[in-house]
Amino acid sequence: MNDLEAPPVPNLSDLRLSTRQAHLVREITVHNRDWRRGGLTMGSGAFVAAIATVALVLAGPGTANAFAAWTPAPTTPAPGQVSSAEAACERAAAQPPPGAPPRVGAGASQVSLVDTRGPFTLVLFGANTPTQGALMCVSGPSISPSSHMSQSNGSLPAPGPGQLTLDRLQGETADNGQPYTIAEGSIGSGVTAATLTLTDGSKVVATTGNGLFLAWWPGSAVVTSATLTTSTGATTQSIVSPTRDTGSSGN
Amino acid sequence: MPSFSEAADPELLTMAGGQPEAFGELFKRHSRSVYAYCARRTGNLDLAEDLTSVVFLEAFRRRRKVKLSNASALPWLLGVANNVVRNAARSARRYRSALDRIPASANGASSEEDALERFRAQEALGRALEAISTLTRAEQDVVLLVLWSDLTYADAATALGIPVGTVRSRLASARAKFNGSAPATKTTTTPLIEEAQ
Repeated sequence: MNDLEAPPVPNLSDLRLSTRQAHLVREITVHNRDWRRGGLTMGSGAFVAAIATVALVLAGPGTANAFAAWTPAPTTPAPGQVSSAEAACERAAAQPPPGAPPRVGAGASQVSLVDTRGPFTLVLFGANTPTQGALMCVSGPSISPSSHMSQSNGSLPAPGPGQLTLDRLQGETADNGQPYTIAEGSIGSGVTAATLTLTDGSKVVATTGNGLFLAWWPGSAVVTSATLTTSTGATTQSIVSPTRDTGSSGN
Repeated sequence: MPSFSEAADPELLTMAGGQPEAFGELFKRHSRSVYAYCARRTGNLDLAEDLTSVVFLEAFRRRRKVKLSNASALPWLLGVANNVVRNAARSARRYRSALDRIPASANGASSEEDALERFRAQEALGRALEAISTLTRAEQDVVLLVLWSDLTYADAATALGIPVGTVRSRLASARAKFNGSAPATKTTTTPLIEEAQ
């Protein structure tokens, strides 16, 4: 270096930054709640204590962040995670709550796509049987599979090559009342990856496969656009989100 | 849910207490610059990523004490970063629990190619830090902010809490030392990195 020039720094990917952005928002959301409840003035020493307190509170029922372990990008499932989630969801589908409408026929029990984010597993059943509709089921900490099952509203036209169709936005709540949103739809030929941008500016990487995509996130933000990767590069497609459906839970 | 993309930085800072997503928007706008600053300051890309998260957590904690003097929060954030990096070990201890909750997908190299790029970048950062190690810490501060982070003299003064004239004189001194027209006394940046790890 013969001058005081700036050394280059590799760019951080959008995914890494959006993961850390989501982490930041989660952390300060938890601490804000703590401040409001306790009226604490967070000095530097108190901050460490507050973090420890929150970590304990998370283990309790009905409090704090049910989605602390959620990730904005799919993760590799732990051994047995998917099979136990599928089994839990199938049990729940076979035993709908009293008075609930019938779920899906036997053909719909075929798994179409599985999305795992940390300890959470989202299973899509029967999406390739459009006459019966699809069934989605999330299981994981603070989420009871039987409480969050719903049938699709029907099929939309298939997306064109390199495009995405958002068929459904399902609004649900965790056992402690925290909302979350599930997105389900189809991808056109050639799409190898899809990242959804939400109304709060955050990004969520979808799971793709079998011509379908799945994603979910804490909160009630909806989708504004999708960045789609194909062999020719990445393109961004504006999305008009369908109405967030909150009325078809099983319980 | 409101969109924050059109709000100015001072508005986002005001909203952040009740709407954490507003602070998330600040992160989205400025995290790359803060990350680059931390990387150039420490020469360690992995550490710089964690320090970037710490800078924003610390900035959130301090948000009520600051009145932004211009439209961009970046000078203030880099000032926070300067303090966080200077006390990296203490900062990491303070926010260790929060850092432990960062998903694994936000860490490490994502591919062999990425790992190689990061390795080469770290080598270049190491050489650059070695090159400026003849400057005093105060001179390094202004080099990092003005020459390596593209802040104006006034913004660097805001970040460091010093008069603009002091920024000018420190930069002039740094340039003179670097060009060999003034005696150089080598200072160390390496202990900072070791302390942080």
